[in-house]
Amino acid sequence: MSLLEASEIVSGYGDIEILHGVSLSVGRGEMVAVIGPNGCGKSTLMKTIFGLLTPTGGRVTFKDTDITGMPPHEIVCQGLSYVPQADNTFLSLTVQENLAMGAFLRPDIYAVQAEMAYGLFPDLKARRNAKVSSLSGGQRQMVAMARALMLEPQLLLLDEPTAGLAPVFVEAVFAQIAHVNSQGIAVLMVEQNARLALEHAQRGYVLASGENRFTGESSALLANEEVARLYLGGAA
Amino acid sequence: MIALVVDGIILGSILSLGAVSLTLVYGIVRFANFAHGDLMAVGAYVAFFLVNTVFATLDIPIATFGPLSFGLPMLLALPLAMLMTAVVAVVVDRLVFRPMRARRYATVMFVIGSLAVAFAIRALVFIIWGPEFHFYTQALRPALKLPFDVRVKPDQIFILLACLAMVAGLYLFLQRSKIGQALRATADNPDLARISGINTEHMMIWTWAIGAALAATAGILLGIDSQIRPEMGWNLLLPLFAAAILGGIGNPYGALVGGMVIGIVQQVSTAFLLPTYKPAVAFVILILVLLIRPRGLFGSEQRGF
Repeated sequence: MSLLEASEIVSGYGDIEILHGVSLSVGRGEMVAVIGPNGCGKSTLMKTIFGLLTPTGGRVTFKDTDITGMPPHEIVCQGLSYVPQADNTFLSLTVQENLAMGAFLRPDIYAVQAEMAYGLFPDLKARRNAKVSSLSGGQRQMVAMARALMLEPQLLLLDEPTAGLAPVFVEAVFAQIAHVNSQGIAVLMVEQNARLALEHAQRGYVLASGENRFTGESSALLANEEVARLYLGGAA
Repeated sequence: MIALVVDGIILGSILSLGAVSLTLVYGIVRFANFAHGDLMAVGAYVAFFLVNTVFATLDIPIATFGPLSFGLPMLLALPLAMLMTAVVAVVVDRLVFRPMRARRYATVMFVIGSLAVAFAIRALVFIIWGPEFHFYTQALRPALKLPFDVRVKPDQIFILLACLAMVAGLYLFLQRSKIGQALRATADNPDLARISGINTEHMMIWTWAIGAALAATAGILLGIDSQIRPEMGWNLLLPLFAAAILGGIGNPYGALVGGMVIGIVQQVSTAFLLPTYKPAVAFVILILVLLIRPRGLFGSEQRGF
């Protein structure tokens, strides 16, 4: 049985429809990648799942609870967490305050979860009282992920976690994501770095023009000639 | 000259408190609230009503504290007036601004809406209390004579200390309390705040309540320093905005400095200009800031404080 189930999602901004009926599912503890060209609706899908956009059609269920149209502050209580692509930290707050905001709904578990986060991202511990605006891009991405992990989510949504990072950091971020996943937290990630994303994920979805194009095991997608030629920048 | 600077510091402390609360509200609701001055007036009038009408019949002891012109009744009225003004602001948000947020109106509509609220509040004050001046007390208190020909009324020292205490209290609240941190997070990045589990509508209520309570305090202190008039807050709107923009709009700590600067410059200008030009001085500072450093002294590209 799947943890997250999105079926036939129709969504967009105002009158502009971006997704024309996209479906996907994520199982417990699974890592799933969504890839596709720019503007295919990857970020729109994430925002719709998390309640920042209200779908005009379709249904999102999480652990059998219908979360379609639920506001984000209620969705986060269900055990989902979301790291947006841009503006994913509170820049004017300190690292520690960012983590505290991540645990806003559960101050009782803040201390334990903060220690867990600092264990996962040791770089952050030394800079816990620094404002996030003074941190490097890679460190900010760690803060963003740490904030999202504070409520012990069962599913982490990551929107382009490596966007704008220097190549040296890209592998490190993927390693961190894999580590998070290894602790039993399911991951649904949208990635530009399609090949790397599929290499880390168990399954993948290829979106094009707001519709499902290919779906399957990562290894099958990586081996698929057409996927490789169109979306992975080269032969399989 | 030194006397004018001292006067300016007193005026500046009231402006600071008004500008800090104005800019705090701006930082979170993201529009310039033209009704802020009139919330100050609401606070001043509610305190007037409590002290001079309700409490006058109750025979409350200690009518005045030592050399101050007011006593226990005013000290009781202050928190009640803060609370009442906060309620007014929260109700206005519910009735006017929340429906506009739900329909995702453009910012300019909120600003015009706040202008309408300002007119409505002032009209109500006129209807209830009339157009004439009021005073909390008729008692005259001798000014303290300090070196350099400086004269300060004991009330004014209280005003300065009260403003500093309020701003310090706000600082501690924003930095240390959970709600304060959530307010800063919401000002910094409202979408991320919602994703983190913060109900930003609750933060709106907190913002209006705190902003209005501080505005009420500024109004009452202004009333103690001079007099209570229906247009007392409206007339301060320009210096308040000048102070907020000088400090960097959306940044409460900048507004504190901005208020002091505007207060001192306004008072010192009376050595060279007629006092009627005081608002013009604030206006000139506002224009200069916008021309030279539109972000203000402490403003930055990023949001939040």
